[in-house]
Amino acid sequence: MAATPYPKQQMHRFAYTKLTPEQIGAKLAPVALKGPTSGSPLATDFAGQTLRIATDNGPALHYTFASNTRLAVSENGGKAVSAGFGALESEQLCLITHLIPGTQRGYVVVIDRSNKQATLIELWFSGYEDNREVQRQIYFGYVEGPGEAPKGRHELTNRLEGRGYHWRTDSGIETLEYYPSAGYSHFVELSRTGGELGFCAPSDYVKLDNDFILYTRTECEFSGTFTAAVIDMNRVRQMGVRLGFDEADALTYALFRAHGDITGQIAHFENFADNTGDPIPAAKDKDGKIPKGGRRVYRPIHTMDKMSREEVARVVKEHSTAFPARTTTGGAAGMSQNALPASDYLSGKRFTLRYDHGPVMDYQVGGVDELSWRMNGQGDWIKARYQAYEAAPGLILFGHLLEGAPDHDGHIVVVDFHQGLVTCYNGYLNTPYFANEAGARTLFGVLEMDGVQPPQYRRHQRTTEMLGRCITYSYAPGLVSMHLYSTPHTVSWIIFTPDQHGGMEWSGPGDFVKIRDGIYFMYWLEEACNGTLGTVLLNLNIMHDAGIGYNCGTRGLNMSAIGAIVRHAGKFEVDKYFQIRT
Amino acid sequence: MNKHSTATRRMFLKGGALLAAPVAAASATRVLAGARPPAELEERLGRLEDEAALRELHQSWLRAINAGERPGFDPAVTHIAEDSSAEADGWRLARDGNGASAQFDCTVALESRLPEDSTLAQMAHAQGAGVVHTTERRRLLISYRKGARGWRIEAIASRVR
Repeated sequence: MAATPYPKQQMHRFAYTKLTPEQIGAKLAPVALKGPTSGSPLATDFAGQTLRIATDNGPALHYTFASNTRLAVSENGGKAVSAGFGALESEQLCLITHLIPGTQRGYVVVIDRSNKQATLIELWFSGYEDNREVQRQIYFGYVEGPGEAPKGRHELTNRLEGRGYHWRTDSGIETLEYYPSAGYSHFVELSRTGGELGFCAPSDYVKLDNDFILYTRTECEFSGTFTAAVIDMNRVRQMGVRLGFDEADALTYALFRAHGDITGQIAHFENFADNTGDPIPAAKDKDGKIPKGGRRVYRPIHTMDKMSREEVARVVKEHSTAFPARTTTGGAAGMSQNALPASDYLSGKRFTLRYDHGPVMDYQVGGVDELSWRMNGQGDWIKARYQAYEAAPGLILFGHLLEGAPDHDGHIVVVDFHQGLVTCYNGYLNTPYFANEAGARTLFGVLEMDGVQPPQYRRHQRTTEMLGRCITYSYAPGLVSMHLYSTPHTVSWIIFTPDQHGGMEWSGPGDFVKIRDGIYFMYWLEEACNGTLGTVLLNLNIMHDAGIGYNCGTRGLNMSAIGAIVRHAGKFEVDKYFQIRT
Repeated sequence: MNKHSTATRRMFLKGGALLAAPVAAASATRVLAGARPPAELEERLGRLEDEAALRELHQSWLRAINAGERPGFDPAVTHIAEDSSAEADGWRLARDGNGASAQFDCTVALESRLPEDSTLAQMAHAQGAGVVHTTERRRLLISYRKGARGWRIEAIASRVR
């Protein structure tokens, strides 16, 4: 029996080879002559034909086809170069792709035969500090020929924003794709890597007409592989091409077809008259123009603090803070602007939280912001600053740092005083990749205190009830994100632009625990991305959450309140793609 | 009028009325001149002149704020629109005639930059945003001081209404 091919390292952990231009050139050379592979029969009847593509502010291409796999291409009237190519057709649309031998460049051309409109995507390697990351520039134009040139053009759009698909390619690769943004997308490789985690990539969405969208994805920060696909939204199928180097540095240049299912359509939040795309255009150069291939890419691994165990130990000793005064200035502090008010529910209480196969935590709560704790009934009581929030009647979220713990732990705890149940997200540092990157353990247990008889067998349970849901979190004016729970272990977050387009998107591993009907305790880990453990006790009954963040950086270890007013943006029906559902 | 000013038509009309008020008031005082003792008339005339000067000073200050200058005021404020019902509670002149105060209700437009201390804020900046525009209804509390060169604004504060 074939085992699920879980990768030894997920994409955000894999150390992709820093390929040199020479290495890339050497691998491209034979493929450029040969053309792409294809899992489906190529389009035919090209022999003897010619094609001229004119673009607005872009190259002019003149093709002469020798066969269904050989062409000669002239760029801007230059000398024709012979190359391998491949093409696929779908209804009135034709997708042609080829590389330019002797270069690290190539093209994807999408032509609409019914109206002669064309989109040209120029591709190249070695255009960014990570040479393997495919760069792209999109041009709109038309097919030159008898008669008047078409006035219309394909255009960037938000028309696919909010859609989700399950795709199965002609080579059997299954992927979940989510398009919750007009400038990014999220994908889950179900068959190739087991679908544990989803990942995000900058994307383009081009409206070809009301039925077809051209979608692109560049797996920046990962392998750098580029995908372009024409999506037939009515027939739920696509034709496309992938170009890039995989984890083993093998070059993929392949045409594919896929068929699929619509998994859902969530809301999007632009003005109803706004169907524009390209919501996060690249910054302009000094000349006022966007450089060729320019785009906004979130590259968190470049900007995050990366600290050693020694540095973490020093900064934790010198700068540990829990629940600093809330401000309204934005940022992490701003993430508390809409937080629930701190509660005095725990004041004066003494209780024990007994975790299964975990610690036994004794508490004496002196006041609204100070408690004393002791672990496993041993040692002295240790004072800690805490804050608590009553997310629902008798349901308390509270958190505190564990001073003196070797891994600088923090406990973020949901206690149900009605049910006698408790779940703790135990954050800790000194994790394997970066010592300041938080890890998290999920602990289930019971509450012991006078007047409460906890259950013997019942516990809070992990749940897939949040799977596929999208929830917007409004933390403060200008600080709004949307969570997408794309797998049972993934939280993705999308940042909105000022005009409410979905913009940049990133993701990390997460956990989901059902606390009560409509109330869920979740976390996300910003792995390879600031290292924060973010927790959310989401109450869909009041459309508000309470949350606590745990983060360590060069400015210290911090535990702080977060909270937002939430909206339900919709749900993708993806449960059936994950075997274990709870 | 400064081409950068974003004053509304309402503001413009109101400003005109305010600036015109001292002239009309002064004419009225002439009609009544014979009926009042000269000292009282002089005091009243002085008061009207002070109020006219204060109104002009206030309007100049508003124009400066709305033109992008932020002289001595909350740097996050980018625009101030006096509320339609924001009739000044009058300039209260000090007994010695050298100080004054006033209150105005208004709506202020604010612009603030999100500190990049959370992943969300960092992403907002990375996508070319990260500047938050909001509005608030506030009450302006202004004090004035009269010196050898005329009236000047001594202090401005505001509070959210």
